[in-house]
Amino acid sequence: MNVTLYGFFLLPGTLFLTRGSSPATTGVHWEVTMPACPVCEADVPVSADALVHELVDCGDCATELEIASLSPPVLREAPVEEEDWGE
Amino acid sequence: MSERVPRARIAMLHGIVRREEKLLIEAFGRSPEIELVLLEERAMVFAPAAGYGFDAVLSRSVSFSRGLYARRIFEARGVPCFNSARVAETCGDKLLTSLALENASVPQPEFRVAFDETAALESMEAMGFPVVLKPVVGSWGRLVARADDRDAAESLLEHRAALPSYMHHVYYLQRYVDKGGYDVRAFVVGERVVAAIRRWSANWRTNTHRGGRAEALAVGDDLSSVCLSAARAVGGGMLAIDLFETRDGYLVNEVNDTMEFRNSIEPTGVDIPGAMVEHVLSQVTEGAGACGRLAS
Repeated sequence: MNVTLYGFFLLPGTLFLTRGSSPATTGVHWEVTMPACPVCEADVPVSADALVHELVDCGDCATELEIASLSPPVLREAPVEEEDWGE
Repeated sequence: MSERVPRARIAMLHGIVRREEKLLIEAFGRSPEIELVLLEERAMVFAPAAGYGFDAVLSRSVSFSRGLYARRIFEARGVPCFNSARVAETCGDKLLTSLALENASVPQPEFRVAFDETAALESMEAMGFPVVLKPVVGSWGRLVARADDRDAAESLLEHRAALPSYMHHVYYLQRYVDKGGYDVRAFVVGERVVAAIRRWSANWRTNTHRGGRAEALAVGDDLSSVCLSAARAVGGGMLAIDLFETRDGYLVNEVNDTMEFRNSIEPTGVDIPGAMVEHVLSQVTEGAGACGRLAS
């Protein structure tokens, strides 16, 4: 995806990013939410195109997290790898 | 302006959403002919005689058991699955894969199976060290171990015997193949090998999940032939074939049913998820489904 980020501003709990330079998407706004890490309570950025059950890492404590909900944004610890996981 | 009506309603079974699932969702989104339904396996309850309002299921469960049993239920209700439950069952068990390859005369490393520590040790000695000990169920190189001599083999077998799951007491033994620092992964979609990579690693287990490096590999006739034979042997569909390249030709090491491809798109330039979506749509619109389609 040809996207260039050129600015952002913060509101409590929410980071708004504005993107430009992509001919097809100029003027579209990305909303990046910042739910708390359930382990260390640091803010963890979750992009607007994220999906429920997608995995993200906490930048502070490095815990692997799963997006439990997008509205409201909620994170939980990712399930631990089980014996039958794989391809 | 009239909107295009989707020709197929496809469900994607998933648990955690990895890069592969996101790429597949994007690929589905590019096809106006498909309406995609996301099925989160942990939220599902399968009730007797329940109906399903979709034409097919693409299983992307990271869990072998959940993906397999869900597919069995869907297929029992007449919903075709990609890949089929039979393919998942065969590919999810290294012994079943080896037997399927053997029955189809597909070249593979020499293997043995034993159910007892002493028998396993004797078998390893007879094969000649090094020998690789693998769990019959499992992936990502987890608990795969190489025994370079009898002492190492005894220790490995003792540890394996102490594990609680009965699956760890089925000793799948494979002759170690010196593959020169890389193995080959080829992606079969239907009747085509759409892409292939060499996976380099300093670790003897060359697995991109373990940090291996991927580079594109041109698909020649010999590679294509052995991969398609391996795919047909396990029932066909969308499969990642792992191979060793030896002086005597390719050996099929494993066949993966829920293939991971995130590290193979960039080096090969092939839209692997796009090819998968096209395959699913073509199978559904042909009305054949994936269930045993390639089995012969």
